[in-house]
This record gives sequence, structure tokens and C-alpha cells, in this order.
Amino acid sequence: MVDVQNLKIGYRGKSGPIFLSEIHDFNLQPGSLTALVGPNGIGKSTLLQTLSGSIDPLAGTLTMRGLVLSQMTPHQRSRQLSLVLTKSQHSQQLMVEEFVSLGRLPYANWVGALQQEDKSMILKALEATDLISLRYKKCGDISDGEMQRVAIARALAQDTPIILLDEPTTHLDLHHKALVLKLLKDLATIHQKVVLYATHDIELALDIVDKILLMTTKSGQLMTPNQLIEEKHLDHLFPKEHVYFDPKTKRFSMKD
Amino acid sequence: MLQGLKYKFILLPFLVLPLVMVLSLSLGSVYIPFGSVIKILLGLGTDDLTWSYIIHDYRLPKTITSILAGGGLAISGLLMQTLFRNPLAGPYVLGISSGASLGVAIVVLGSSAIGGVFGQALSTPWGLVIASGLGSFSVLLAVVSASLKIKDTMTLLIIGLMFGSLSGALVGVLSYFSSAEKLQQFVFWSFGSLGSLSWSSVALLSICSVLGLTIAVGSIKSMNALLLGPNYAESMGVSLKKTTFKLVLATSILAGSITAFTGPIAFVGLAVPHIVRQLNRTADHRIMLPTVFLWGSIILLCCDAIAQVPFHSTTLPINAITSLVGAPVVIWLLWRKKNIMF
Repeated sequence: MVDVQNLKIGYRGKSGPIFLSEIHDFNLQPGSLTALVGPNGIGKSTLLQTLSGSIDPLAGTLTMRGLVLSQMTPHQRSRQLSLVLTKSQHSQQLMVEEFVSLGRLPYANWVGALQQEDKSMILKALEATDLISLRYKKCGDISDGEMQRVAIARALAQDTPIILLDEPTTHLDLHHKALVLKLLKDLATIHQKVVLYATHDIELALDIVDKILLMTTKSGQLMTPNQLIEEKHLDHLFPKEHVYFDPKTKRFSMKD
Repeated sequence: MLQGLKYKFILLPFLVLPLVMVLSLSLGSVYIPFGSVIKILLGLGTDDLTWSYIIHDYRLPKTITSILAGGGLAISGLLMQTLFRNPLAGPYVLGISSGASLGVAIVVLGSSAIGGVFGQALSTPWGLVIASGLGSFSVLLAVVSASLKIKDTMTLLIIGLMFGSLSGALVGVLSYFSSAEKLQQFVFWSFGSLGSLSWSSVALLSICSVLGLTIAVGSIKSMNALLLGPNYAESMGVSLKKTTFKLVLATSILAGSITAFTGPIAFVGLAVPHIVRQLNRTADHRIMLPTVFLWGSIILLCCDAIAQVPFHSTTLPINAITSLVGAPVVIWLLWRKKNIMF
């Protein structure tokens, strides 16, 4: 569904393009949950932005459901992929239900009026994320964890085959991290979506995801969690002086 | 999405506006009995031709000006607050009033320097309107062209503020070098006035208002998307550049034309959207746009009624009254809510 070939990502600075990373090829299939992992500053956010079409790749091709991303209009894109962001600068005055409802805008008429179909979609999204009891609360009055679920519900309401999430589990406690990840897993398996999320919680990702897209200084590679462990990729992920990866427990530990 | 409870606050301004309109038409430095006001308005004739003249050629244009100016300024405030995601933004953050002031200052304070017939012609009332219009328009043109290049709204906000202080400084320099008489004329303009418009000016103001409001109505969907923040808005097919341009353009047309005709009127643009947001309990622009317009009209009509000093021949400067009435209201709102949320 999402196909990437010879992708070079980066951004365009004043003195020419600044190259961050390259990914030879990968494709993401419906029903799969994929984690995007890599150290800070390696270009995870840039990759997500490139995949969402808000910045252009430096080189390479990117297709979604057979359509070339750069040739899609913003409106077409809005029906193919939805975003979940950690920092969204949204209005604190919005009610939870309004926030989720705005996910239906790509389907609404010129003033944004909602049809019955939209309303049932919104209700489903609220139910799936367990937000019914919070629907009339203002976004400024709920906790970070709840807001994270609201953001996911909004993407659900947008009803796109592809969902990209930028660090959806940061700022959450372990319980809520697990909750969000289970929700993402359900989205992938039950709703047959492509779900790609960037994360620093590698250990949790190893437990739940189907694929891991590992980004290192050289390139990005898509593999299964087991492959990742067996081929000892995680040993080289961070400099060796402070942490090491234990393949038996599948956990990182600190060196003495 | 809407519970029954919310509707009453949405319908309220539709009921209040006609009442305030009639009140505004009945008040003025000449006392006209309420019954006669209604009769004249309905075209039933009256015994006193002076009354009919006052109503038709003085109070009616003034009431319509107040409705357009109050509503228009409030709408431009709403557009700016949505665009900049900042409850403190108003039509004047983009330097509109400073631009207008600069235009008027050049004409009024500089006309002695130009001198002769040309200088005389410029300081007529129409000269003032044109000068303030040109002043606000050129500042806004600068901001609009900046908005085409700059994506970040915070940067744009600061550029608007800088243009504002730049023209403010130029006004200061001009004031320093001008005569006391000229300075007085300038100060009177800066008090603001709703009552000096002829029917032809009202017609021109109406055309500008309709134009600005049409752009605003056409941007409802994009503005609702912007409530989610710029990144989400973009991911939902909204072009940030186009939307920024449209919103700045609508604000320029509305606030620019209003300031040109009435002089600077403070507070309405900043505070009305904020008050209405609390009242409506929603930020949805489909509801905000009509209610903000109506409440803006109502509040300016009320301020004007106060400025008239009922049953007295004095008229206070409208620019001072709007702040005098409005600022405590906003302080009270914030006091109660403890925080300001956008």
C-alpha cells in the first residue's frame, strides 16, 4: 500500500539541500503495525513529514495505493492518510467531540456541514478510543494521555487507509503507553489500516509490532522484531558506553 | 453535536439587535418621542419635518454605520485570532490603525508643509477618508505580501507589530513638528466618530463590508480546520498560504474601510470574539461568524448610546467609550475564568 523506492530525505536549506538519510526500499501492507525507531536527530520526523507530503523528498519515489504522492492534490492526500501529532497547537476551547468531528472535514461540504454518515463515523471513533464519557469536555481540561487518545480518534474519524503517528506514546505512563499501542494494533488488524508510528519506546515496540523500520546514520531498513534482535541491529543503535541490549530479555540495560 | 441548551445563546443576539437598533435611533441630542421615531421609520409621516430629517439623514446612517463597523471589526478580530491562534490578536495587530493614523497624520499635520490649494483639498473630510484608507491599505499590502512569503504566523504577527510601531513613530515625528491647531484636528480624528457619514459613504462602507464578509464566510471550513493547528489543517487538504492570504485580505478590507470612515475604534475587534466564544461555548466558525458579527454590532450600538450621553447635547469620543466599557468586561471575564484560552 505504501511503497518507497530509493528515497532520500532531508530538507532544503538556504545553501542547498541538507541530506539526512536514505531508504532503499520498503513497503507497508494493510493490517500491519510498524514502529519507526532510531536515535534522536536521525530524521524520523522528517521521514514522517515526507511520507505525509508536507515536505518533498530529495530524491526517490513514494507511492500510496498506486498513486505518486507528489502528484496527489492536498485534498486527495487528506483521504489517503491522516496524522497524529504530539504538538499540534490546537484550540483549547474545542470540545473533545468537536476535535474529533473536524477529522471529517475532508468529506464535508464548503461550510463543513456533517451528514449522518459522518456522525456515525465520529461516534465509532469516540467509542473505539473510549472517549464517550469525555466527549463534551474541552481539550484544555483533559490530561495528556486523554488528549493523545483524542488525537487518535480524530485520525480514525478521518477514515484513511494510512495513519502516521509522531511519537504517540511520549509523555504517557506505562499503562497508557500500553493502552495506546494496543489501540494502534487494533487499528491495524481490525480495521486493516497501515499504521506507522515513530517512537523511542523500542522495548514496547518489540512486544507488539509486526515490523520495525530502523533508521541509522547510514540508512533505513524494514525488518521484523526477531530479525532486528537476531541480526544484532540493536547492539549498534546507541554508542556502547552507557547502554547495551540483552537479546534474552529483549530489554535495554544500563552498564555499570 | 449541539445540545438544546446552546441554541438560546445563538438566538439571543438576533433578538437583541433590533431592540438596540430602535434604542439607538431614539437617542440623540434632539429629543424625539419614541412613537414618532417608529412612525418615521415605518414611513407613516410626521408633523415635524426636522425630526424626519434627523432620523433619515443623521441617525439612520449612523445606526447602519455602527452595525457595519461593530460587526466588521469584531469579525476581523475573530479572523486574526483564528489565524494567529492567539486570543490577544485583533484587527489592529497587523498595523491597520497605525497605518490609518499615519495616512491621516500626513494629510492633517503635513498639509501645511504642502500648502496651497492642494493642502486645503487634502484636509477636507473626504481627504481624510482617502488618506486613512490609503495608509491602512499600504501597511496591509506590506503585510499581505509578507504573508505570501512567510508561512509562520508568529513571524507575520511580529512583522505586523513592527509596521505598526514604525508608522506610530512617524506619526510622533510629524506631531512634534506641527502646529497646535493641526494637532487638535488630528486628535479629534483619533477619537473616532460614527456619525459623520453621508448616505453615499454608508453605501461604500456597505460594499466593502459585504466583500470582506463574503471572503470570511468562504473561509469557514479552513478556519475550522485551523482550530486543530496548522499541521493538522494542512494534512486535511487546507492550504495554509491560501488561507492566510484570504484571512489577511478580508481583515484588511473590513478593518481598513471601517477605520477609514469612522477613525480608530479600539477594543471591539479584540474583545468581542473572546466574549462570544465564552457565551457560545464553541469555537465552530459556522456559529461564531454570525454571532460575533451581531454581538459586535450590538456592543458598538450600546457604546454609541452611552457616548451620546442621553438627553444631553454632549457627545463623548467613541474610541474612549469602547475601551472604557469593554476593558472592565474582559478583565471580569478573565478574573472569573482564571486563564485565557484559545
